Amino acid sequence: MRPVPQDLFLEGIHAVVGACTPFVPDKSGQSLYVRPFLFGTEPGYAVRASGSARFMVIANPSEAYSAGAMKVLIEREQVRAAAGGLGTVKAGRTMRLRCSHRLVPSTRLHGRSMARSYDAAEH
Amino acid sequence: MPGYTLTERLQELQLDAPGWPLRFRRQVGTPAGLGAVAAFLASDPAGYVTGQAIACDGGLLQSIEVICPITGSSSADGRLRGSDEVWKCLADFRLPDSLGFGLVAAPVMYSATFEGGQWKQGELLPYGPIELMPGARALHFAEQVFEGMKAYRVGARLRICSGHEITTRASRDPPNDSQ
Repeated sequence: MRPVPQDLFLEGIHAVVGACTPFVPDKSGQSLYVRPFLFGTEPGYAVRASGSARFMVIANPSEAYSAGAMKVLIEREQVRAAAGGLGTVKAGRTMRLRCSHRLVPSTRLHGRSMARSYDAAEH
Repeated sequence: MPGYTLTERLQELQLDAPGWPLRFRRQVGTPAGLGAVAAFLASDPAGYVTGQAIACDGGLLQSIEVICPITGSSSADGRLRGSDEVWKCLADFRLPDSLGFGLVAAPVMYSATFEGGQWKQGELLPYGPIELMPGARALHFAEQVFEGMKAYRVGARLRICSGHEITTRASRDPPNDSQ
């Protein structure tokens, strides 16, 4: 995919947040969560970068992501990051571990705020 | 709120390895620096400090001010014009008492497409379903990236946290573009 030009990125952010000015909550811990995202729209199964893409910005008036005491599941079987890998990238593929019912069954995650996994070499 | 901190774990990962972006190598804090902030907050002299989130990140968490709030029939720079539908959505929206995280959708969304080798003019739309071809690469190869940031009210103004860092990151090549 093509990167989003900075001007376009900022235009999207300012347009959505600006339009939603009256809906930005102001109680403690609250914010307007802004989610810019980019995805490939070209149909086809050839493994190459998509020739077309769509950049969108949506937003959600939100409470804090989590509050109070936090319980964390340490995942020792599945891997998110490896040296030289893309675990730092915010992309659907790197978040699957936390979202998949097969990889991290909801029964194991039950009652915990999040799953944390570590690198491929030595966990 | 820590930034990139040179813990034993990061040292093990060898920050100078080729896989680490240069900004990580240049901009790391020390555990002692972060610990000092925590120790201060836990100390008696800080007893009057409540409910604060203090960034210890070398300036990584910069905020940007929202500069073009849309108040009329167009944005401040005149480029983005909302349709009647957009203004109706905005006028009709009411903030519910219970928000949750990501559960309440703002009434509008921004969309811009890249086609034929160039980005088209973006537009503000009412929030709603989008059309996507079933064969789209986003669905089959997870060709998709995202960011998350928060807009806060600071007095009469709005500011977006991490805006500078995220804007810079978003304008670099997505990691799968080398394919």
